[in-house]
Amino acid sequence: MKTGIYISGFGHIALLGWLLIGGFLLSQRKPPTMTVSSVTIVSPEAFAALTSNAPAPDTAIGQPKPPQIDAASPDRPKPEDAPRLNGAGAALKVQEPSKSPDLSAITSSIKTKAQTVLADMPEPSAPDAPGVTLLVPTDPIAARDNTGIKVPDRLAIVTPPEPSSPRVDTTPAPAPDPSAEKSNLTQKATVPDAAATKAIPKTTAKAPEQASTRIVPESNTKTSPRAPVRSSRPKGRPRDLAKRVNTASQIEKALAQAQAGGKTGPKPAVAASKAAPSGPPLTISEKDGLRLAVENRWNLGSLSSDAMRVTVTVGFSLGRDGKPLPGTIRLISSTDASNAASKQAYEAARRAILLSGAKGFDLPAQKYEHWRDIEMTFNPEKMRIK
Amino acid sequence: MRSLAIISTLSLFLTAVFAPQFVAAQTTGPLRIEITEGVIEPMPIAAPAFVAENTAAQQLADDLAQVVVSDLVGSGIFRAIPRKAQISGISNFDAPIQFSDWKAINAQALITGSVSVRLSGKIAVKFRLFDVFAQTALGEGLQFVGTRADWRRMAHKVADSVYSRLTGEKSYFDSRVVFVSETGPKNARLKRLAMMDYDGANLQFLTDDRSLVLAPRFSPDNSRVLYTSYETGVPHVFLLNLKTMRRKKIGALQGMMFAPRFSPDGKTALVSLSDRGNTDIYSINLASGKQTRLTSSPSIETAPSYSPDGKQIVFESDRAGSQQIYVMAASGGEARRISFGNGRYGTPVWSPRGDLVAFTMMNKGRFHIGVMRLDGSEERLLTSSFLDEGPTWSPNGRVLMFFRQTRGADGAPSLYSVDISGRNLKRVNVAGFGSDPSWSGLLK
Repeated sequence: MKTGIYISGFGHIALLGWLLIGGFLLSQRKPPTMTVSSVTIVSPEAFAALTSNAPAPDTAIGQPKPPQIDAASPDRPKPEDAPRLNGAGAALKVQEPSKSPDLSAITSSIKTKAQTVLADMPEPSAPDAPGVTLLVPTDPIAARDNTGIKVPDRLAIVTPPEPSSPRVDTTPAPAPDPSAEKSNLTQKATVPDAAATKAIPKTTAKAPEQASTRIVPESNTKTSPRAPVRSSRPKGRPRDLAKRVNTASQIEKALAQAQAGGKTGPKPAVAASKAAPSGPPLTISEKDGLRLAVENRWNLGSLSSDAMRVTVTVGFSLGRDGKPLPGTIRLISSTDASNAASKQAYEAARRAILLSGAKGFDLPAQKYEHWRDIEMTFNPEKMRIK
Repeated sequence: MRSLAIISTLSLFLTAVFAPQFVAAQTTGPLRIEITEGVIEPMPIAAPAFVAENTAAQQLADDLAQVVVSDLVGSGIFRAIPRKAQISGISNFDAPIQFSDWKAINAQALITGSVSVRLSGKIAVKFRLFDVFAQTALGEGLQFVGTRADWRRMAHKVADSVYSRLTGEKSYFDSRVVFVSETGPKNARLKRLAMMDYDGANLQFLTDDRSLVLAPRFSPDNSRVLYTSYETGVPHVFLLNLKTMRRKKIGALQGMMFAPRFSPDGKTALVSLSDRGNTDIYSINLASGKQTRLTSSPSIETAPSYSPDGKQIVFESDRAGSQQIYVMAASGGEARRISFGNGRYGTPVWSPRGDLVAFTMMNKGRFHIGVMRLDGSEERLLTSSFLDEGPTWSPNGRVLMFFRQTRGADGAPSLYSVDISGRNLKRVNVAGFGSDPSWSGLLK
């Protein structure tokens, strides 16, 4: 019987001893929780920004701060120096990648993101920006513009207002699976591409390229209650346009202003005219003056009936004195295959040019580039005997 | 709504893409001007006195130049700059041209020439034509050699060359006109055939005035003349050889024969034959005398004229109740009417170019000379008077000659010419009265 008691007593003693000593041992065997605590070091904003596939426009533009990139680009940064984004690097810096396998996935992801951000940053164009929509305002933008910038009431690219809710998720990331095995793979730190980093500073410093020639201030879009949702029918040409513009000079002035340029004019035309001869083009009256001068000398009285049916295009160049340059008058095209008739029609046209330009055409000298080379089509249809 | 948005977007895109290119093309290319209005006025030319290379040619040189200028100016296409306005003359035919002197007086063409009388008695005429503003010669220089009696023809030849080079079409100065010369009071008018240069010079009579003659027509080779004569008491058609001045009666048909016209090959003549109140058109082979009736309607068909290719005939007929113009095959058959305007149409003549028909139109008591296309389109009346009749074409088909009768007891016919545009209407300088002109082809 005592044997049983002894056994029982020994068992209890052992149990008590295990309870006393075993708690300490158990506390030493707790699974490492460092991975969880390390993750929490990364700020939510940085984490969301780095893991987001579609960063907000301001984030995409503002992330690669020039000083950081410039510091990294001349020399190859050390692995621990590379990820310096939004303070996340402070926690990562104290840990060597090779000695923290639990963080390898995250650091690798951060580094990759960092590289991706660096490589993808150069051209943040407006169409790539999420939420930018091509819409036509219901009401003229100019009517709603309170910035003082004159905006034509036509099509425009309007950026929608920023979302009121933050794009960074403040919910802490879940803890990794405790059963995950440690990776023995040693991953080297990614080095930013030098070529990519070289192109960044210039692009990050400037605003994204405007897809439209109109300036739509962001402040205006923020205050806009809503983006336009439908397109309005373009206004028809007023029937009484001729009455509104009474004189030809007004029309010419308007045309000259529109084509010449100013910043308030149609931007595509202005952009295209950069390759054209400098200065405003000839006005209608100036062209009419040239045309009338030649018409007064275009004598069809000596043309044969066949030649009166031929339309010829004659090219020539003028000197700065307005006189046709010798040897530049040439037949470009003719509507008749008959050499005799075409020749006669060309001769009459050539005489008209030479006679009318004998003393120099009355053309503005400052627009010489516009009237230096001329192609004139002589069409005798109205003069033809019927 | 969605589709509208798509269209708007697409339009904006296309505008943004292509508008700059369009504007750039507009602004970067040469300045393009279209000239649709011009002037129709004579071209100013300068023709200084021809250089006389020897003393015997002194007068000829001056006369030749005057005829050349008269031809060109008379065409209505050129205007001669007076010699007194010319800054410099031409003293040496081969000397370089001072174009600035001619350019200063606005001469667009310059004609220089020289005349020499050779020991054989023949005269030689040389000329050159220059484009003053281009300061180049227009074509090669030409020389004509002939007898002194032919000096006017040589002058016409020079004018023809100038005309062709400046207008690009054939000329008509070296040609002749056969017509009916009339003398005496209106109630006792004497008529006879006469021939002259186109400008009225070198007039010569072909028949005497013992019998009435009408409607002479030149043969295509200018060697013969068909005409109507009353010498047998009734009108009949005769063929006159201009070289031998021998004539013969053509055909053996009974009735009144009139309104003859040569075929383009000169082998056949078309005539009108009026028999027992019906008038029809016949063709007569001039060599064999074979006669072929081309029309057989009970109406009056007359004034036939061949097309230049000889395949068709234009004539006048009152088969529709009034006098109108019709076209049919040269062998006869169905005819189609081509005149549909107000009034009566007669004396149609086919243009040597083949594109127009000249006619006389009578409407509301006035007579007109006009032209129309073969389908009757583009009809235009060129003249209007108390009596205009009998148009005939110049060799190049650009000028019409006709005769105009004045009103009243002293009324008399005169020859006139007019451009087919209706411009340059002028009286031909003929001694006496003249009617029924027929223009020859260009002389060889």
